[in-house]
Amino acid sequence: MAEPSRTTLQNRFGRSGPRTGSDRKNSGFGRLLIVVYAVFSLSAGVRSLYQLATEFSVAPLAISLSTISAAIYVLATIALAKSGPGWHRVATVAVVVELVGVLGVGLLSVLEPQLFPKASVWSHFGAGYGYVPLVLPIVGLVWLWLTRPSRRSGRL
Amino acid sequence: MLWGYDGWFWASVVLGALSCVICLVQAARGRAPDDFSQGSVLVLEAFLLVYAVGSVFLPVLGPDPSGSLLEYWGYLLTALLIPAGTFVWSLVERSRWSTLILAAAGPVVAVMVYRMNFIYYYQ
Repeated sequence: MAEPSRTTLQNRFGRSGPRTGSDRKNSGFGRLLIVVYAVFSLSAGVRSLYQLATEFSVAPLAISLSTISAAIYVLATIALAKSGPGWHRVATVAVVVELVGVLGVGLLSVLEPQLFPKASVWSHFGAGYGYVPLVLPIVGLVWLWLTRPSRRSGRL
Repeated sequence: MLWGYDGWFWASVVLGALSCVICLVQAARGRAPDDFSQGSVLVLEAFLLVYAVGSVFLPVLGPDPSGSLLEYWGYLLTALLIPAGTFVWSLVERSRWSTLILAAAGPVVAVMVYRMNFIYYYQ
């Protein structure tokens, strides 16, 4: 049998007692989804802040849209990580807005490329990020549907 | 190409690879985050803090930056969040999967330092 792990750091910095504030939405696969959303919040957020500071005048529309998309990723990350039916609704709204955004901006960037001299996160349906921005809201909505509060199977 | 990179980069490669191997081994053994895996990302965080101090003096003591210093600091501040974020995560989520997430910090930090080197010397 394996000897117990040394957990000095965990005992020093971790919270003791049972975990609270978790439901089906933010456990299991939901945790992975939260990590992916957090990565996107971080990268889209830093990138849009940088563009706002340095090259806003070059592509005001694209950079404004990038900033809005970063804010939506942050909101979705928080709402996915929180528990309760209220946060489930917030997460659903954020992910729907994200899906509409990536489809709308993607279409606009194909039809009117002159509006996007600098790429935004959602340009060309997120091609610059391996189309993850297009797939992510779809996966998110499926997950939110499977973990909807009205569905009473399993633990909640 | 890689020989044009500085000691900071190579230090991040060594520390990042060590941390990644430690965390992968612990995850393969089915361990929740412990002193080895959590400690290894704290070492990465400490390295990045020293690197941040070094970066303040780099334009004074070393060559002028060829790329954007603002972008450089954007990468550096983002990099500083990564080991800290995975550590906080590992305190809350106590499973082997959390140890696997800790394993991602090392390679990500090495790539970020690579990008910063590129921005500083070549961009």
